[in-house]
Amino acid sequence: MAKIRPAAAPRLLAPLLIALILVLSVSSVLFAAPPPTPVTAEQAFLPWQATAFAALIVSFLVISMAYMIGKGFEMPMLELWAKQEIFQVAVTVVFVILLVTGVDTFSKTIAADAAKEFKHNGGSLGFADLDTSTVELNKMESGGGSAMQFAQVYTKSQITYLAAQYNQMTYYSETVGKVSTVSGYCYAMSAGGFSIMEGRYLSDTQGSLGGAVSAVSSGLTAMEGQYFLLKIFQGSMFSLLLPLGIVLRSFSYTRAAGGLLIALALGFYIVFPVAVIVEYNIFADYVAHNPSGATISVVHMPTYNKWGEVQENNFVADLVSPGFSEPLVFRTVILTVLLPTLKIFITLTFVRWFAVIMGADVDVSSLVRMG
Amino acid sequence: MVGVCPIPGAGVTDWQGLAIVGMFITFCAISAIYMLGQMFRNPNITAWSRLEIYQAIISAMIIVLISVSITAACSTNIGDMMSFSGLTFPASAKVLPSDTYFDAATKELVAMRNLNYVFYDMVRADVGEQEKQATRSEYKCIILCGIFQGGYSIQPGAGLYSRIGALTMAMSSLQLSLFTVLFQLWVLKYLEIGALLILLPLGTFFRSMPFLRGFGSALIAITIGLFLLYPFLIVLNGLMIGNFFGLSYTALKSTSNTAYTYAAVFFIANVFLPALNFLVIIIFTRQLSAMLGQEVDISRLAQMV
Repeated sequence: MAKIRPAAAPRLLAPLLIALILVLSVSSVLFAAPPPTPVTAEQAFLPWQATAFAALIVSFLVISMAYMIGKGFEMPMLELWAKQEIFQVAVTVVFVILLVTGVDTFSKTIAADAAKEFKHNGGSLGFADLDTSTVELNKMESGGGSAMQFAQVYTKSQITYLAAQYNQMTYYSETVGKVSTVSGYCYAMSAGGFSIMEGRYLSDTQGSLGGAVSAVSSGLTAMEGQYFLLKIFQGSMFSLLLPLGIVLRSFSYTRAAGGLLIALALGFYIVFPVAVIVEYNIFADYVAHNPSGATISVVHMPTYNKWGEVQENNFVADLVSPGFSEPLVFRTVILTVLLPTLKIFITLTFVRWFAVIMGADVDVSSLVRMG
Repeated sequence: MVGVCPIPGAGVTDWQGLAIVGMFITFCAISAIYMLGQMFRNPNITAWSRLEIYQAIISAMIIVLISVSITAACSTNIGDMMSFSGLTFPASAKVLPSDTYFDAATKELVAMRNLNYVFYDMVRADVGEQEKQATRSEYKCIILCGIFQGGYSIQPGAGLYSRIGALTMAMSSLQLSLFTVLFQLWVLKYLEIGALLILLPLGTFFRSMPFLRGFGSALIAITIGLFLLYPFLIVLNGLMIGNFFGLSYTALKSTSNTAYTYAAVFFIANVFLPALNFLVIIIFTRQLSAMLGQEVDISRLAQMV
């Protein structure tokens, strides 16, 4: 954030202070839902809002004390510093309030749309096992939820789906492994005999199946990681990082770190879940155009009888069919490798952009390497 | 953090003693040069000495400021931060509300290391068990099992190799998380026993010297950035993951799917969040070093490391 010119500071101070007081006064109205009955302070403010408000008051008090000391001891440098700092606090307040209220409304709106579609399409998207009439989805549909909540429901449904696929894949692999090692034999003491492995050729598919199991497990790990990230972001970004960022940003020597914390809080609480909803739309669009892509077709498994004779049952043909391979590749490559990378990249790009606005120049190369 | 935090009634700590000695040497050296300037009536030397004594006073003020910050940090109870955020640490960390945040950071990392090790070991045991099953062969004799034999053999667990391959990847991820948390523990230990005892006095000394002021400023900025922010950010991570870290040791045996959950959770907790921590430290250190007189390109330094 560019520093204001010293000459301009006194002129700006009065309107800024008035604006700050006004903004702080109406912040409870902006943040709190319209209460039908008289509410307590705890009900009117969410925990993070109360903490952020307290952080702002602390910053404001510290700077005011510095200003008084500057006035009392006739230290113009300290006076000027206090004026500049109060300007920075005002900038922080305005940015945070505008962004949180504006983007939060946006977040609720798109979550409501997504929840409505999700409830409607739950079965056709391959999430038939999910209870689509949950209280959470109903709440989101009526505008009472957020992108963060929808992102968690969607991610959890992908985890459920991938876990089921993992179990199915390992079952295929174990069955094929067993059948491909069956070796029929007939010996006459040491006079000779023969043995034969009828299903040996099936072991050639084990490499592909192993790759599929690895891909599904990687996807499962990525989705579990995403779910865990969403959970901890929901629990801590606004209750911990945002207030801390506001406090740090109020002082010149910690302004950059504070700006970065605010950018991280907004990025991971708002932008990341919105990116997940975008991913959901990509997924729903793919399924809409490829109805068979919602579920991976069941493969007929090879068997063997008590004589060790192997019957393939069209297993190999099923394995290479588009109904089996295409949804699997979409889920494991696009949904769980490419899109998570993009989501993190988009979030970190926002963090970098917003951190620069808030006074912290984030190193791009470090971010890209993290992404 | 016993070596850095002041013990009540025990006077100055080691690093404070070293810093005071460093400042004393600096003042003596500048005074001697000033006297030489007076003796030889060289105005350049006396003017230079006056400028340097001004910088030395600023360095002394920095030391006082750091001492105050560290004392405040050492005396801050973690309970305050828990009530501030409404969050808690993972239960296994056994962080007490009366702990300082240095203690809490150490406990948090030790708990994460122990948990990570246990789950890594459990996945390894699971892989070992499945390896054993994969190599088992069975012989089924169907007819004439005396002199003549006819039947088939089978390796029932041969298909487990696919699962083993996937579990090995989860094991590698857990291993990476384990190494990263160990790295963090050793960085914390290094900060406790080394950083302030050596780098800060050196930094203040160099900052008072001509031509070395930038180098000294950089050392001070790096030390403050690492020492004050690093444990603090670890504590923040502990609070962030605390409520969602209800892992149980016995869960893994039931289904192997849980191995991937743990791989993901430990990767986020021990690799991803610390990466964000270092980003914050880099930003803070860069700005602080610029304020002290030397902008450090710490991101390039970090890349080199």
